[in-house]
Amino acid sequence: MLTLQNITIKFGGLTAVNEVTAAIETGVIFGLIGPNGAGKTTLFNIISGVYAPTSGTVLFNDQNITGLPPYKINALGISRTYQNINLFSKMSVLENVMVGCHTQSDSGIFASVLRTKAQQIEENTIKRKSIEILEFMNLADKVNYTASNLSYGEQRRLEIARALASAPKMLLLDEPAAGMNGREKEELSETIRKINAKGITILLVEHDMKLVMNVTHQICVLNYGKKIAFGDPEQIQKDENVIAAYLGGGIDV
Amino acid sequence: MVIQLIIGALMIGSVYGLVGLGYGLIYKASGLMSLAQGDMLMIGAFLGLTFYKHLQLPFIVALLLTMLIMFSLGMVIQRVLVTTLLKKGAATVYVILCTISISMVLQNVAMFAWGTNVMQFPPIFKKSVINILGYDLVPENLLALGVAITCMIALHFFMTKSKFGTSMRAAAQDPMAASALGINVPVTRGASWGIACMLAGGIGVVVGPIFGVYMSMGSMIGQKAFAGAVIGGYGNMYGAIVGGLFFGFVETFVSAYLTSNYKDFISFAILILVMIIMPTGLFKEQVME
Amino acid sequence: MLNKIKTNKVASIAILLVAAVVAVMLRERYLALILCFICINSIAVTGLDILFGYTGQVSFGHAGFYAIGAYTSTLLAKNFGLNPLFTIIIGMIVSMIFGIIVAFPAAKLVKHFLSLLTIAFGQMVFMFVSVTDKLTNGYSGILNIPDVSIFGYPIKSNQAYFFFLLIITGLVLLFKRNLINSRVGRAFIAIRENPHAANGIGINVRFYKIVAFAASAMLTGLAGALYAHLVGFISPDTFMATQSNLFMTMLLFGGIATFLGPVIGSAILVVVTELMQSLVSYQMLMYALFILAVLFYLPNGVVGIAKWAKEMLTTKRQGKSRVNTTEYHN
Repeated sequence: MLTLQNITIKFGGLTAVNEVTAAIETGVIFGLIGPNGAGKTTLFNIISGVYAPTSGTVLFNDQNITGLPPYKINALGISRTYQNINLFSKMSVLENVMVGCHTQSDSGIFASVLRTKAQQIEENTIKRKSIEILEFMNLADKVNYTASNLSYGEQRRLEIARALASAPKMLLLDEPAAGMNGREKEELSETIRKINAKGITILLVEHDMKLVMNVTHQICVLNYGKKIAFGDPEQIQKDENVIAAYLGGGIDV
Repeated sequence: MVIQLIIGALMIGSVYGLVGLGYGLIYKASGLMSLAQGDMLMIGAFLGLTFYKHLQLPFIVALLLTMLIMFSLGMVIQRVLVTTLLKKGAATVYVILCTISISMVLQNVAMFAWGTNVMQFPPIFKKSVINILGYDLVPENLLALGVAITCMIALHFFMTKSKFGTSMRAAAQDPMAASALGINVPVTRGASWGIACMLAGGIGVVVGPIFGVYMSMGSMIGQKAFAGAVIGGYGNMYGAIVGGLFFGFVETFVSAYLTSNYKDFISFAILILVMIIMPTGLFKEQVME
Repeated sequence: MLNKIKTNKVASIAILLVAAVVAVMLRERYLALILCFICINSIAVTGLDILFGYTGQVSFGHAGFYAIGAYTSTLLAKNFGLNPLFTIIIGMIVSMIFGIIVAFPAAKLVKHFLSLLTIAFGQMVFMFVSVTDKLTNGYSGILNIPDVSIFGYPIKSNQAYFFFLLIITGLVLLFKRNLINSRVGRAFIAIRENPHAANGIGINVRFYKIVAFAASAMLTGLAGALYAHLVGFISPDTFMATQSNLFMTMLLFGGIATFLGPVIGSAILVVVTELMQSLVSYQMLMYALFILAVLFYLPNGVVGIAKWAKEMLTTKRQGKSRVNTTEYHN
């Protein structure tokens, strides 16, 4: 589904991602791990179009999407969440998800101004769909809350809900468990599996090793911008390079 | 003819440059924008006029006294109004709005204190024209040019050589680190607004004899200075001077050889073009997202 | 959500009714004129609200669009004898085109530079109409602008013009509400709240910024054209930078990104300006104090106070606050 070929990105003299090659198959939950500063989020930003790589190509379903702007990449079916929550904080929970439906609807300016029949029907569909997604993400009782008034864990879930609203084929989750307590993390693992069961491929960056090992099918490990290991969770846990990297980075597996 | 034009362009250009430098200073130190610089110049001109004409103080005393008052005014505005506003969580656009209302207040205060008429600034020199190398030059123009250049050089050495200037630059570059090193960041920020106002007010005193002193004298100079600061690369002190000089030359030569009616129109058109074509300015400062 | 729309509807219908009744009772040309000014400013400020309040793009140059609408309509009606009803529409479209032209570079600029670009635009329009004597008669302005006529009946009295304006203002507010509560409006607000996330969620940020500029310029241009045909005289003085700041003051004071904020702000500022006719020299100071009051004490304007009061009442019942009105709408 997603193929990364020799992706390199340099900021000034610093090489943040170095010659990374990977292939993510349709339907898997793919983990991307590595110590702090390994280039995981940078790689996410390249896939989602925030940065254009210095060299290398990103293929999505055999289409070259390297350097496309984020809004086009989203329209093609790659949706993401952010490490630092990036919600529309003054909008309601429902509106946040409805904005997410942007690429799934096409009412134009004139239809909107004049409130045509088709536009109203579309609005209702969007609203119904958004509420369904919120129910799925267990946020149905918070529909009318202002996004900034949600708890931290709820805001993370709302980010996922908003990303799901654009009906993605592939979902990029950037540290979705950050700041969550144990119970919330368990629920999150469950949610990730449920999303995957809907046929959405998931690329997951996460620091919580228990969660990653528990939920992913395949894992790619980055260190200093380079890919150092690839395999299923069991292989990764035994991999000496990975253990060395994590010990060096000061994080225990 | 050309020599007089060049002197005129240099004079007005360095006025723009010096006022524009203030915008850059404020931006560098606090990431904010003040739109009150032009009216600071106007207030400075009125203060200078009052000290020189009505209180009969020597010109240099009038100039220094004005600059001192303007420095305090700038400092107070930053410490009292801007800081309070930022503490309330206002976005930068609201600070711009705040400075717009400050400039309205300043204009109205000037109107109450000094009236709406154009006031003549009494000549500073006995001769109205002096002859240098066969060219007739207005000494007040030379004075303005001289004061502007002196201020620029003084500021350059203040920022690079003095301890306070260095800490101002450090605070502008990385407030957190500067703060950790024991630099009083709020004071350096206040000082940058103070210096910006001081420069504008001081230059107001020296342009008073050239343009006359009136309520709205600052608005066009302020905007041109701003344009210069952008063209030079916003936030870059030296760029602001180059940009200011550029506009000084553009408007002087456009009005001499092309059209005097459209000189300001052309200046702003150039500004917009530069923002589109070369958004980082001559000295490459970030303006795009 | 639904409740909010309902109360808005009720409120707007009530206001229209009251205004209509007042107008019928009006014998005074002067009062009708003030109501006309309120309508015209409401339209212009609604335009600014779409851009600044909802999309988060600042403009300190809306007097430029106001001028373009006014001069386009005036010149066409006067020089070619076209029906003002028709030229007003053309004025609106020309203003919109200029909005798009300004938006192209503007949509890429960071806040500070956007402020500057819009100031420069406003100044350019002002200078152009001031010095292009052949076209605009320069500083002396244009006199005897023809009245609007509908089906051959000229609208001469201020009272009649007020009804005409009332209908237009009503339509503008209706269209604005529809736009804001739609996919396009949500894209605007998303851009204001977080342009990066908006881009990531599939919104073409630059395109929607241009749309917002176009809609905003169109409404302000419409207001300018309506102004010209109401007063019958235009000169550059009306379109100085002060006018842009006045629009901004009205918007902030009424309350940004609200349905009735622009109307309330316009009404208060127009009335206060009229009441202070004898104290013209204090006018600028007053506007400045209005802005400062909003900045320091009422970040959400008059509408913010109303919401806050309502919130206070409901929190007493529910014991939980959901809307924080002292917060800035950044």
